[in-house]
Amino acid sequence: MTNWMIPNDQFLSNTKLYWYDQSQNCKDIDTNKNVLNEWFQSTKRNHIIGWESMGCVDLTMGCTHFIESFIIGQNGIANFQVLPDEYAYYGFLGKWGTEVGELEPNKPLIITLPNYNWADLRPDWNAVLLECEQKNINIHIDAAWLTLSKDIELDLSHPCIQSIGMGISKYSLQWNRVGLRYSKQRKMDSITIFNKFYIHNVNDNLYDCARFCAERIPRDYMWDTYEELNTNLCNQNNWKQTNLIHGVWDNNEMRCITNELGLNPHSK
Amino acid sequence: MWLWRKLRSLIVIVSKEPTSELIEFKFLFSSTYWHSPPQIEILIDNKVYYNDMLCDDLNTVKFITRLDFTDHKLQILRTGKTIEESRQVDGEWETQSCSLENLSVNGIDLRNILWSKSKFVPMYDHTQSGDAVIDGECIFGYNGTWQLNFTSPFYQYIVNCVRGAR
Repeated sequence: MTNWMIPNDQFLSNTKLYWYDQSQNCKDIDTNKNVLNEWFQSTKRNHIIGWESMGCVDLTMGCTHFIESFIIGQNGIANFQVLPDEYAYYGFLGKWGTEVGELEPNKPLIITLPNYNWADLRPDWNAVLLECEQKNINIHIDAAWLTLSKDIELDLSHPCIQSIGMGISKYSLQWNRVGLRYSKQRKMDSITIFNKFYIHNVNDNLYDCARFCAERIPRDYMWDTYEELNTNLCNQNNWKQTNLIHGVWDNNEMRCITNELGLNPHSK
Repeated sequence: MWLWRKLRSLIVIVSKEPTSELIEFKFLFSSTYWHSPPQIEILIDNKVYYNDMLCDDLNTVKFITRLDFTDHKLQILRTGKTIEESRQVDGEWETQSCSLENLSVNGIDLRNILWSKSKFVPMYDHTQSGDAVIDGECIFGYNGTWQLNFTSPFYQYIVNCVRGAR
């Protein structure tokens, strides 16, 4: 099993220092949300289309919040399904994967894309989409790793895709987990309550900080900055490059190269 | 491709929130009778979604519909109760009755909202009398019309109920 380490560098560390060192002006919730919305959509490294089909945009406290809110919205663990090779969190909850081809009709599916086991979309993604079309299964995407990805192609307007959660924390911002949920229809759940019930002064500090970071960190910062180093390391070590900046194929095994990229704060 | 992506990005800026939503309604009715079962008709904004007799002790009715983001009127027309449906056997009354035991919308049990926001307008026959309107009544001993006014988006309706706005 790959031991993943979130990459960090001096620029990202300094962004955190700037936030704590400077006096801040609180911005309204819509300003913070709009900045993040534009930031997520501004990726040039990935080809995500169909944003306009996701009319409901809500602030979250990261993708784990997205997942938990989804589960609450489904009224519990029995009312959704996951695939094998998924985020360990589902297993911790006692939720185990259902094989592609055996999905239960009409029961929503939550899926991690890109998936860190392949550092890409799942190889069976097209089969999953087809099966979900045939069985009327709504798809909800946890795209936590999208910020560290390139060449991810996704059409959000696909009728089965109902929501997608994105987060900023993979830019070494675990200390201030924030994200957005894009959805075609809001349902009553934790995120809806946060955005539509606790409207005023809820987590202003959290979202102000996220906006501050998004205004300073380019959306495709990791690949824009470390692509050459990543490519050189792959060539030197006979690794196969993947779509995640800190993952490579090493003899058909996924390997985390955060250390090799010099991006592990704990190794310094 | 560059132009297409540029156009896409412009579309994003003008994208709007939806103006309608799919809502799942799930009703659970109980039913008692000795002769013929009670009949119900479920309507939203005067459109009929269900019309049948409640033949079992417990009867589930489920449907999904798309509703615009505006005011709506959910009604249950309860019929089938006649004088002949009631009789006395060994000193005990047997009659026909039905109740709305549970209403879940998008998986949310409305419970207290039903009891505080709905109303039942009985249709008394010549042997009966009582209140013209009974607030929160979900036991339909008389023929009549039960009604719940709500708004869509439904999450906003619930939020407003909890806030005490409605």
